[in-house]
Amino acid sequence: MSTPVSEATPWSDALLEDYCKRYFRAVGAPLLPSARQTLLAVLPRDVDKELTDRPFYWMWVETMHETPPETVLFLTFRDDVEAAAIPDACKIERIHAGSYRMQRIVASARHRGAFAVAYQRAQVASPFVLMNVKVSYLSDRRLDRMESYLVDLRDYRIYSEAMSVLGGTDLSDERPLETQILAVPVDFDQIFSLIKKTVQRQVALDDHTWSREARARLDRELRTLDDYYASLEDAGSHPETPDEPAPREAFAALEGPADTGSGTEPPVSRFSRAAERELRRSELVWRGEPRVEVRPLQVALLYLSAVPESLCEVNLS
Amino acid sequence: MYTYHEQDDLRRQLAERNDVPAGRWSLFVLAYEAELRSLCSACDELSCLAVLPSLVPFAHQVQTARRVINELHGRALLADEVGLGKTIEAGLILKEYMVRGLVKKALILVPASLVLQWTRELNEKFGISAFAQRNEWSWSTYDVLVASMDTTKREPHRTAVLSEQYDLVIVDEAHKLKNSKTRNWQIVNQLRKKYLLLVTATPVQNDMKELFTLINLLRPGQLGNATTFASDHVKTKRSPKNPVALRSALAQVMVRNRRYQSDVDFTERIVQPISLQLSGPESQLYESVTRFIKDEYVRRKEKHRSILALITLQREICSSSYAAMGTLETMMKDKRLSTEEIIRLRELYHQAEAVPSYTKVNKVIDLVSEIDDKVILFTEYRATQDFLLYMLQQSGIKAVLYRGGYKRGKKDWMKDLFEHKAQVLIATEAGGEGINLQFCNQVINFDLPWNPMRIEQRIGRVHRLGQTRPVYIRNFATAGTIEEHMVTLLQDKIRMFELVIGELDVILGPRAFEQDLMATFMESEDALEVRARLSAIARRVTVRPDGTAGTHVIHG
Repeated sequence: MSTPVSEATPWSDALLEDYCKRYFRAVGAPLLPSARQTLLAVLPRDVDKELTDRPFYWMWVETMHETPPETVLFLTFRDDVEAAAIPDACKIERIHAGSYRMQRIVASARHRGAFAVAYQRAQVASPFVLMNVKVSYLSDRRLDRMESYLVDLRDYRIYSEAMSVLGGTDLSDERPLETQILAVPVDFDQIFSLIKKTVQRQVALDDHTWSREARARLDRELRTLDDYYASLEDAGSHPETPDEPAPREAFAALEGPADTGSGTEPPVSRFSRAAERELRRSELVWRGEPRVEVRPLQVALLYLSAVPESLCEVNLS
Repeated sequence: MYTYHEQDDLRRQLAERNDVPAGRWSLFVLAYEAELRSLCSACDELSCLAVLPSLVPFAHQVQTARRVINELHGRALLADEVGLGKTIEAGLILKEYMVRGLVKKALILVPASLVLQWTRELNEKFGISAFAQRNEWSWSTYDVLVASMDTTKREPHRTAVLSEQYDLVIVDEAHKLKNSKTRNWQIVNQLRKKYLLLVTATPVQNDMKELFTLINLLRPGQLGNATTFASDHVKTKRSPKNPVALRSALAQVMVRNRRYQSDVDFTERIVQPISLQLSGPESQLYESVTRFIKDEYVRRKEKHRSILALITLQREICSSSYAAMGTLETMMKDKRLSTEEIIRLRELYHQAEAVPSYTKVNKVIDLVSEIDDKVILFTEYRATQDFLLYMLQQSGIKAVLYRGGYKRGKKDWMKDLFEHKAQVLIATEAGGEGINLQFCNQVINFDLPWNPMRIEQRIGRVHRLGQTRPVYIRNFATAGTIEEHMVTLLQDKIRMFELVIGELDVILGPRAFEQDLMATFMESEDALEVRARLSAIARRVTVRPDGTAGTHVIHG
């Protein structure tokens, strides 16, 4: 297994190839021999459904009890694939980070990888819950980070940055025969609330200059808006009818009403000024209000021999 | 300081699985890696470029997208000059917001003729699953929808669209929102939207008030209210009081890249006036019509009557006698005319009918044969267009027509015919918008519009990003006519064809330009005065070498 990413490094062709290879192995899609930097994958039906968007085709296949041949994908991670390397009846697909197929592969991995149960090969293993949480600082912009917590179910101690160690650990999906498991009841409600509390506390300790700046910006915008509408009240004029004196034009005939098809039809019932103001205010708040969003993304039940040494315990006090 | 939200989706999903988190560890790790790579970092760079390897934007486009996101906070007027790729900028901003997870639902409002083009570009260039609006259900079905403005503002669509919330709304050809009393403006005003991009090369067409109306959609109060805007910023309808102050206020909501500042390496434009001498009968017809127009012009101005028909006739007679015949016929039906005037008009009509040969048309046929490549022939008038088609066909030259009135499918078909079968595309002005014909590099202006924007739109069809060869532009100038003055003005004085509209000031509306021209031609005593007055107009609209214009210019 390759070393997992510890930070958001940009995709390269080699990383994409490695990712796809691991994905196909994980979902049980056989890889046929192919030229270097290309993959030839045979898709089982369940994987095919996730990687190709053709619901009506599958509806037909299943209603008619058809057994169509399995789809074979030919993916390449370089541009100069020689024609001889392209298998018959296969369409070549150049994979890059934003390509349709890659997006589907990532979406499928996310969907299938939200949960896991895994075991460490050891004589005795005790249960832990691993939870990955996305923390987003939002205003009109966005800053995300991932938190990864490991909860020891024996004593409910919490350790942070768990994936940095566990991501590279070879865990088994099935319990090794020689491994004895310590049975401990798991209360997920309790674990979720514990993790949420931990995140909240850690967020509170962060530097929140961003939110002060965003709040100040929002207040400024709201003030401009309020001043504008207040000035309309004072003036008693309509917002869009400036009372400038129209210079006498030599070619009045050319002026006419608004043209360019923008509609000279009578206006529909006017949007009241108060409603307009409320809408603009709510849009400003929607766009600019500083908020923190906490979203648990993945949870796994792990059986480990011990807490990995390099992990630090989160101090909740 | 901030509000705090917790999402419980995962807990619910787990409960649905009876609290058994069964799944494979290798997929868990893969999903984690994918999540890590999709995190939004604090950096100001565009992360969407990494997922769009086949898109190579220009530096000014990337810079614009960054500025709109980082400094203008997603509500902006994109007012680049024609040909700099505003669509790419808007697409980049949309994609970047989508990659950052800040936009999911977006609406793109465009003229009907551009719906499919936008949909195609978003899908092909930006990998965004955008759909063209088709029916009432489209509004709630698709996340990214491209719709025609005219459809959107009508029921039942209007109610449907107003009940949605849009993370981002893009309005292309946003100068159609210049009047706050129109349904176009009102629907955009009433839409519930977080970010808003207004896209237009001509934010001001006729009046500074239009700029105020557009900015008010983006950020009410940015330019004060209408009264304070008029008193603080407006000197006359078309010129600002204090350009520096206005520019600084606009900088917070508007981005305007100009061609001379951009890094885009456009191919050369080679402009050639084609001097022609009208034949005797043609010349006599021109003189008679012009004399009639001058007499009528004075009379109608005294009576404060419309002179629109006169302007049209004056321009048509420069194009072809066929074009003028239609207007002459319409004018004859005017019941307010005296018998004497009607007789005069009828004489002119017969004179037009009797023209035996057509100097300009013969020249076109010679030129097209000589060029021996694809040629776009532009004219303002349908009558001229039909006439040219007939005459070219008579000489064995394959030509197709292109008009604004054609439906999208027919336009695409005509474009294909031109690309693969015909040598000449005869297009009217209205046909100019929305098609890209980079495979052709020869333009003949059979007649010239009096509106610099439209001239630029004509040339912009071929001289744009993607053109690899130099573009040849030939302008017909018949000696001793208004056309000759026009060619001199646009080509030599404003140097319109070399440096394009970018060098002209947008704030000076095209309509003002037309009016100034007509007044010049009608009120001048002789050719000398015409030339002097045209020079004055040229000075007013051309820029200084440092890129700043006279007192009129505004750029973001």
